[in-house]
Amino acid sequence: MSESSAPMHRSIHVRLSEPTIGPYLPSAAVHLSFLALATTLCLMSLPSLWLGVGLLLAVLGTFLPHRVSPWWLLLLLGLSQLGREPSMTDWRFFVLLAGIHLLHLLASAATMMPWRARTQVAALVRMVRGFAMLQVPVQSIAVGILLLRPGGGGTIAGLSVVAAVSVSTVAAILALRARHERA
Amino acid sequence: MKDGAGTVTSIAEVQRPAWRASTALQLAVAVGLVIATVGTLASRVDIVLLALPLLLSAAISLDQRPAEDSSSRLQIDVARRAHADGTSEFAYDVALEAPPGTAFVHLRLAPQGAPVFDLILAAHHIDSVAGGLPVVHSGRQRVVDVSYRLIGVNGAWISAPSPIVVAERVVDPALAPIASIPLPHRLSGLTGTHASSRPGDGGEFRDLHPYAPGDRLRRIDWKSTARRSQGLGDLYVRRTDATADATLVLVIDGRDEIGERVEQWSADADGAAGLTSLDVAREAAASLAAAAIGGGDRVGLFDLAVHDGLVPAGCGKRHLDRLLRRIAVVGPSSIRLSRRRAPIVPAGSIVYLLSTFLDDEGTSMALLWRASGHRVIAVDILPAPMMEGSAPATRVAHRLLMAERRQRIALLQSNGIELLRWQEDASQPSRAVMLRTLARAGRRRA
Repeated sequence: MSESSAPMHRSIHVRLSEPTIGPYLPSAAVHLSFLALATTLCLMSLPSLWLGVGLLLAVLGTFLPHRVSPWWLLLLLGLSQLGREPSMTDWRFFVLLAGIHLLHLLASAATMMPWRARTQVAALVRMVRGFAMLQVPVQSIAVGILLLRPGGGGTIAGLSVVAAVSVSTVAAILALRARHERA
Repeated sequence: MKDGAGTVTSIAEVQRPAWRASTALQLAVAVGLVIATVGTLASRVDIVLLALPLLLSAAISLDQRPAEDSSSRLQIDVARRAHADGTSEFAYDVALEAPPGTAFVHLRLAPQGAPVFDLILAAHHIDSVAGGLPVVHSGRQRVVDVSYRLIGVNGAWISAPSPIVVAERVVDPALAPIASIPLPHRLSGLTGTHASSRPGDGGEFRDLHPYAPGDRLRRIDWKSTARRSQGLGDLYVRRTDATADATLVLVIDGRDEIGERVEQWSADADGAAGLTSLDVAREAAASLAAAAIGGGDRVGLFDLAVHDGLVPAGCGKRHLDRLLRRIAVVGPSSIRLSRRRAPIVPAGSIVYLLSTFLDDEGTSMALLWRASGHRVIAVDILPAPMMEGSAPATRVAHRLLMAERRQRIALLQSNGIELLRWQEDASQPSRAVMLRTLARAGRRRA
């Protein structure tokens, strides 16, 4: 009885030990990474006319991640490429290619993560690994296509259609496979 | 589960998560298609390429959609660890088996008395999320509340939040040593450990008395007869006192749990922090029950918070265990019971009313028992107040409340009800002294 009894304290001061989850980062780091990356891409890609809109969407996307503003920003950044000629020597295109993908992953994660949460580093490592595994082929394809492009023209109608159809086909095949597995 | 050192309570909960596509997946597909369409229309392969990661990411997410019939299994283990300094803590360990297709888990832990912990964990890394919290209260303890949400690859799939799983333990109250215990004014019964004023068997020597019809022959004291007899037929017998037992009824006013921090007495406050009135009540009731049953008396229990909260009076080790189990789970009730009559207690018993006396219910019950001839001891279980951090309005309200309480206690004392303050402090004699004084005051043999 005495072993299992509550202590007779005059006054109780609670000391709690926090749950152990291994190495972790505050989830605010994910939110702030989104803000930092979005700001950098806006400053890098957007013309001054759209810069204010882009920065506003970045801030809204950071503090209201459940709204659609992060994806409006992705659309804006993607279409900002219209103002530049495609070039193998334009590093901003390749940064944008990686940045849009990473912004999408960070925005998706931010919708799941309360600001005060703790994120296990292993969870972030998995996300970064998935990002890298997709970026390697995508960047390679981008380099290949830009190398194949006839110099100076900037418009390869046939190749762009083929690329779009290929992407749609891959997406459709994967979607059908997923549906088939569910059935 | 009943608590004991070294025992581990395990709770396992299997859920079938309801998955749905997240907004992120739908928006990624939409934005990707718009960018690809604009690039196609503008004959710009570089713009189409910008849509590629979004669409591929969405395609991978669709491919790795979690199966609808998959299930997750949550297990919570709670153990009690004793420390060398006499304190102890609950150690909890949470493990989750997530179904295939789960990338992350949003685990929400709410340990008792602590802020909520939101944890984002990799699905394959949730074999042990451990934490601890000190054991500060007796009674039923919500050690930790756990809920979770599963998140698919790239945040594309998300499950509905699971129901909250509560890991509970019951902590036995500590037993305070009691040397003297106040008894009823009149003892009852034919056997027991207390001496009665009635002549009978089993007790101490009473007197020598001339033999009367009905006296047992073996009680004839031949030496006294030889010394005292006047005539040939005079016989003297040795008479002894009978023994008797006492019946104690412990009445716990468990309708409210009042903490020592006055600023948390508000109805809006979430639980009571620090030492609470029910901690004191459980310790007092358990100690009195153990002391009385150890002395061979009969003890019953009544909880004013519940309608059928009576444990009939009894004695013995098994009855003590039953009482202690019931005392350990006494907790505040949200149901307000208003009694017009006091619960019936055995005739000739002493009633220990354990109450904070912050309202009239306990007072009126005590007065009714006293009016029906029982000896009543009012055990004050209100912890000494801690006023740190209280607003001036709270201090004024506390003073008013205490003035009303003093009036109630004065009313009780003016009606012959004795007061025992259980929590010891420097402003009054020790509990042992007060108990001894009360035990002497009530010593009147039946």
